[in-house]
Amino acid sequence: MGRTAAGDREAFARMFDRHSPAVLGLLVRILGSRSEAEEVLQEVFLQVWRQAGRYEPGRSSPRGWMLVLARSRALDTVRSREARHRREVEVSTDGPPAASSPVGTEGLEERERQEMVSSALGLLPPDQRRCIELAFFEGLTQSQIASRLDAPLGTVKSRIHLGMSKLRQALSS
Amino acid sequence: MDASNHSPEIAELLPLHALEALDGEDLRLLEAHLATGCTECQAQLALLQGDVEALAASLPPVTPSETTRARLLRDLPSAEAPSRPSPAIAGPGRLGSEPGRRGWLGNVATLAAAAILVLVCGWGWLAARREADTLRAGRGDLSRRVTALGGDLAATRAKSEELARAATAAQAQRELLARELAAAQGREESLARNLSSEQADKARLTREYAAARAERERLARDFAAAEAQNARLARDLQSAQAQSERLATAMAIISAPGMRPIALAALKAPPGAQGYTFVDPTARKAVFVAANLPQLAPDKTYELWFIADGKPVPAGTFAVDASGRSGTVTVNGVAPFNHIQAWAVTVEPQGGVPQPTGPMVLKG
Repeated sequence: MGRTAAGDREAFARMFDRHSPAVLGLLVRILGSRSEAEEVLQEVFLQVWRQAGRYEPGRSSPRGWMLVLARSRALDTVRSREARHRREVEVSTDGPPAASSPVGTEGLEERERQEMVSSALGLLPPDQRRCIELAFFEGLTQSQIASRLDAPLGTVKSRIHLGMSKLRQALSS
Repeated sequence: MDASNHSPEIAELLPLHALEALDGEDLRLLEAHLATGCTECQAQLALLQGDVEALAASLPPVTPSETTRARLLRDLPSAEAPSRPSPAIAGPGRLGSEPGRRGWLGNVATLAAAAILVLVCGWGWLAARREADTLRAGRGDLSRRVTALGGDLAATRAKSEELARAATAAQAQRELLARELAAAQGREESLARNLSSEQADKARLTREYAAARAERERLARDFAAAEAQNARLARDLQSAQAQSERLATAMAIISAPGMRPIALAALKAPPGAQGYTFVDPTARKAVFVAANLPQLAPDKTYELWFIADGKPVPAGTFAVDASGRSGTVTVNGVAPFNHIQAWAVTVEPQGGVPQPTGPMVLKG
């Protein structure tokens, strides 16, 4: 990362090759559209190129830092997209796919959906997983989640709390 | 507030904060707590950040297309750092002409190349510097915008609170006015009831007045009738008293010592008619009564005479009732007894006459 900050394009290219699949995986998960995700991927890495000097090694891993950037950009994109088109893309990990949206015809393929189930989230009970998905991948706040699921706020908070504890156990094993 | 207010309730908020899912009061509470520099929270958050990143990274990876990679690397803007050593800068010696091999032309060429190189490097350096300035300006611009947004947010919050207070005041005012309206309605209803009851009173009083007035008029009529009655009774009393006096006088004459009775008999029809004169010679008064005499027509009356010294002297007129009886006729101023030759009754015109003209019916 330091060399990238110094303007080393080859170092940057190596970083891209190493981390972009993970970043793109997250973007696809959030945006639901491969082509849109690749566009945002470019924006994310442009931002990485410009702001590499801001990265603090103590706070997170380089990949973690990039994933945070990617998530922010993806959620911004989703919000401005929703404001324009007024539709929601819901990616269900439980059963049959949600009705595909008119824009972004690619949607998620069956293979990618199946792979998603095997991620760490799949280890959680459905209630907890749903709450964490809404928070992380759709950027909803606890109150928004409560109203989306028509559940009490306290229930949402405790589900997220328990889910994150379970995730810690699952990821560290 | 110090970090010692770290509590299980605060710790519970950390996973949500790591997911950027906190809002409202919870968010304010935690941010205020974090601002105190709570090391426990910092440690926990660092762990949680790691969890979140691991979660994101555990998703299935997606290899980007070659097009994306190429476009990205092609469009990379020049790097910013002026401290970056430019790979284009090189000492003139690097472009080396082997020393001594070229003549003055080679030296000129070398010099020219060096000059061009310096120009290019200088221009590149300036361009890089401008880019750095632009980026810094952009960052400064961005941070100014963020600050401005923060100011706008604070202003909007203050405005919201002000509007909330105004709404509460307006609500209180509305409730006050509602109560005053209800009170005014109550007063209006009470006055309407008073008005209608007063109108009922007025109608009743009007009726009572009319009744009292009729009563008074009736009493006035009764009083007038009673007055008339009284007057009649007074007259009757008066006439009865007069009658009593006459009778008393007559009794006095009849019961006088030395009283001389004289009987008068009927001369012709009707037979059976009779009369008596009771004379008090001392008082020179007489009382006369008659019986069985027929009643006369209204334009006639019986008249009593005494004959004194051959001349008839009127002694009074009288009528008889249905049974033929006369009342008592009292005669004052009778001539001396031995001068009277006879007594007689004639029928005369109503009112009497000074000398007898009609038929004689009694004599004695």
